[in-house]
Amino acid sequence: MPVSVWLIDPLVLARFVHYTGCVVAVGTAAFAVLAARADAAAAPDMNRLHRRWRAIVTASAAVAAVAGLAWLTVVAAAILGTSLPQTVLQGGLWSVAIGTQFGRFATARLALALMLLVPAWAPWPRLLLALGLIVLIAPAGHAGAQLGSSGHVHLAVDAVHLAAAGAWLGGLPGLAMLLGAAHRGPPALRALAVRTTARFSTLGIACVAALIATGIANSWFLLSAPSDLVTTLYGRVLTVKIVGVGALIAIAAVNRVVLTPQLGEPAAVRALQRNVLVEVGLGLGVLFLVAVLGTLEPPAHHHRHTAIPSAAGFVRVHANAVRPAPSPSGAGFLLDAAIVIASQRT
Amino acid sequence: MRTVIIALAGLAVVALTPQAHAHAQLDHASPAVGSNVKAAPKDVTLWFTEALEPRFSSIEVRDARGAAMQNGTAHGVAGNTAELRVAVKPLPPGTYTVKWKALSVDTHRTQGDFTFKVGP
Repeated sequence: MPVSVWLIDPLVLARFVHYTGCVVAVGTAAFAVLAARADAAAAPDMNRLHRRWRAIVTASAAVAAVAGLAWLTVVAAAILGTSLPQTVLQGGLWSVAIGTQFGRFATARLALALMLLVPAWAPWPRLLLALGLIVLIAPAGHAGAQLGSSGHVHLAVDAVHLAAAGAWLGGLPGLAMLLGAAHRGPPALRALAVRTTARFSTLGIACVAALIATGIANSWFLLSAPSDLVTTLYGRVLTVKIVGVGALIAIAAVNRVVLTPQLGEPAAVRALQRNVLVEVGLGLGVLFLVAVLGTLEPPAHHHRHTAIPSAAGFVRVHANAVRPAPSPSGAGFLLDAAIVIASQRT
Repeated sequence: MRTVIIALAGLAVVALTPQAHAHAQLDHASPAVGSNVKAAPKDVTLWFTEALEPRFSSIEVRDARGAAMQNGTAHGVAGNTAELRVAVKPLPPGTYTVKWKALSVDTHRTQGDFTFKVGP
C-alpha cells in the first residue's frame, strides 16, 4: 500500500483534518449536552469543563472550516486541471463552489462551521449545528452521485453513519477531560463523572449498533463481492479500517464491562482515562483511513470482461436487457454490448 | 456475553465509507457505439453510470477530417441527471468520432471516445 504517498497527499490530508474537526465538534457538543447536570459541589469544576468544551467545539469548527476550504480548493484544481494558486486566483474555486453539487455542499458546510465559531450558542443549538455540519459530508461522496432511489437510501445510510461516528469517537476527548478532572477533584465531581460515563456508554452502544448496520449497508453499495476485501486496494484499506474499528469496540467493551462498574475507585478512573486516550489515537487512525478510502475507487464499479483487452475501458451492460441500437441491422446491439470504449480515468 | 457479541459484530462491520468514489462511465449512447445509422441524427446523447455536472462536461463530434460537427455545448437532459446531449449539424454520410469528457457529481473526471457511421 502506498502509505508514504497518502501521508503527503494534499487531498487525503485536507479530508482527514476536515473529518477530524467535524467529528470533534459534534462529539464534544454532544458530550457537553450529556454532562449537563451538576450539583453545587461540582459546579466550579463543571463550569470550567463546559467552558473548555465550548472552546474545543469552536476550535475544531475553525479547523473544519479551513481544512474544508482546502479540500474544496484541491478538488476544484483537479476538476479544472489548474494549479492550486491558479484555481484560487483565476476564479476556478468560485465557479466550482457554486457550479457543482460538491462545491455547494462544501460551501454549506463552511457556513455551518463559521456559525459554530460564535460562542453564544446554547448547548442544544450548538449540537444541532455540528450535526448538520457532519451529516452534510454525505452528499460530498459517492452517495451524492448515485442514481435513483438507491442513491437516496445510500445518502441516508451515510448520514446516520457519520452522525454515529461523530457522537461516539468525537465524545472521547471530552470524556477523557472529565475523567482527568474527576481523578483530581471532589467526590461530587467523581459521582457526576460516573453518571456521565454511564450515559456516554449507553450512547456508545447505540452508536456502535448504528455503525454496524449502516456499515454493512454501505458495503452492499460499494463492494462487488466479499473477496474485494483482499483482492482490491480499496478492500485492503477497508480491512485495516475494520480491524481498527473492531479494536475500538473491544476497548469500549472492556471500559463498559470492567472499568465503569469500578469507577468509585480512583485507580479505575485513571485506567478508564488511559483507555479512552488509546481510543482517541485509534480513532484518529480510522479517520485517516476513511480519508484515504475517499480517494480510492470502490470495487462495485469495476467491470471485468475477459473477452476485452485489459487496457480498454468498459461499457456497462445492464443485467436485464441490452438496448437495441436504432439501426435496423441487428449487429448494432451486439456492438453496443461488447464494444471497447477507450475511456481513461483522470 | 452481550459485549462479546457486540465486539464480534463490530469486527463484521465492513464499511465506514461514505466518501468512496467511483467514476461516471459511459453506459450507452444514441447513436449507439459502433453503430451504423441510416438517417443522420439530430443530436448525440450519452448515458452515464453516475450523475453528471453538465457545466463541466463536454461532447465533441468530429467527422473523418476532424471538423467539429456538434452544434453548441453539451447540456443535461431534464429528468435524468446521468444524461448528456449535444445537438449536431446535419451529418452527411461518413464515419464520426464522438469524444466525451464527463465530470461526475462525485468530482471525478472521465473521458472516452467512440465512432458511429451515418449511411446506407
